[in-house]
Amino acid sequence: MVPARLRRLAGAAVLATATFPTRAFAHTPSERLGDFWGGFLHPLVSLEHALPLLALAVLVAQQGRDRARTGVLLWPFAFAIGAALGFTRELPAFLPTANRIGFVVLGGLAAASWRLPRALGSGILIAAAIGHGFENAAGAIVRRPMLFGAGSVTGTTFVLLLLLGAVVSLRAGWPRLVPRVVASWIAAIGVMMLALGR
Amino acid sequence: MNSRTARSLYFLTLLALLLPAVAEAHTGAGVVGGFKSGFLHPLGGLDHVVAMVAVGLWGAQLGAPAIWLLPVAFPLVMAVGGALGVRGIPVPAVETGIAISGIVLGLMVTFAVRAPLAVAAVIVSVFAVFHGYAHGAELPTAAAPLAYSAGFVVATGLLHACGIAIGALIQWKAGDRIVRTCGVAIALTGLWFLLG
Repeated sequence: MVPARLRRLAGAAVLATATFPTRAFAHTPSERLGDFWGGFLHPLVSLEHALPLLALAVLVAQQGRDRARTGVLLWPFAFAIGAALGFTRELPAFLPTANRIGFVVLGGLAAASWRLPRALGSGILIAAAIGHGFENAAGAIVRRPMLFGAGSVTGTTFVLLLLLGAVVSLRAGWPRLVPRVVASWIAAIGVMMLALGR
Repeated sequence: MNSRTARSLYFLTLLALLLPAVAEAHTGAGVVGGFKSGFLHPLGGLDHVVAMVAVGLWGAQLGAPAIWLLPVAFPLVMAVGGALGVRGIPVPAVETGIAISGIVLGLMVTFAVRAPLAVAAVIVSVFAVFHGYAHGAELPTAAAPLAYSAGFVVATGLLHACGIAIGALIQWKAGDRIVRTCGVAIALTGLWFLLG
């Protein structure tokens, strides 16, 4: 026979478990690291931002190691400016379309392995960073925008660094063709996106 | 059946009717559903599959740079065709063009035609418009558009890669015969679709 006190305790435990079902979630990264982690993941799990980032990394890596280093330094500042604008201003109606055009431009240039003048290459990188930083921040509903923005800057810069390192270190010949083919696919996706008007 | 069980069943049936969306298993919506839907779309038609594999086979026979340039050109131009289809801009004889693409590309592989790169690129690009148009016109509205487009392009690229992988057999004499036989099969498939 179970003692009455133990039964009451078990009953209270069952009631408490039923009352707080959210406590049973196993993976809530946002709860652990707050808006920073949400910001870190947001642009990386959204194809809208992740695919152009990949195409941009291929394009910048094709410009050589020195330009790739400059690109890594420019990216976080430009993306942070975009994020700040995204949190403080209305999203311009043209920006999502401009970012989809970026799929075609970045993917096309990377597929063609175009050697760009330094100023133009930097300009494209800054424009892409501000555009995606703006759209990424504008679409986020967060409690602490600063943390979210810092997370997004960190996440995208970290991934850009990894991609640049990977592409720059590829040997000439077949290995360097693979990123170009992938970039052409990103350009093709951009064309379809523009046709869909979304 | 007692009245309590009957009431429960009645209540459950009513609930199921009120919440039909909950019962849908494969909606094709969302990022994963959209990607899957787009990925499977080019694989759903044999006429598309054989033509895309043929592009890879022919590229492998032509060697560098055609081996990678043709599979780059096809998805890009196909996306333009897809855009025309999505926008509803009329393109004549789409199905005929798709069937002829199988015949022409199959014959190119069968006879291992050494066409100049520009000519090969133009042939492949013209047919890519027809294939893209057909896919674009059938684009499901429910699917997540970006994920759908990504799945669609990746599947097309991987079909070219399959063709290139099979085409790598040409370095052996028996392999070359196998590749050319694939070309015959592709041309006959195209002919079947043309006459069908």
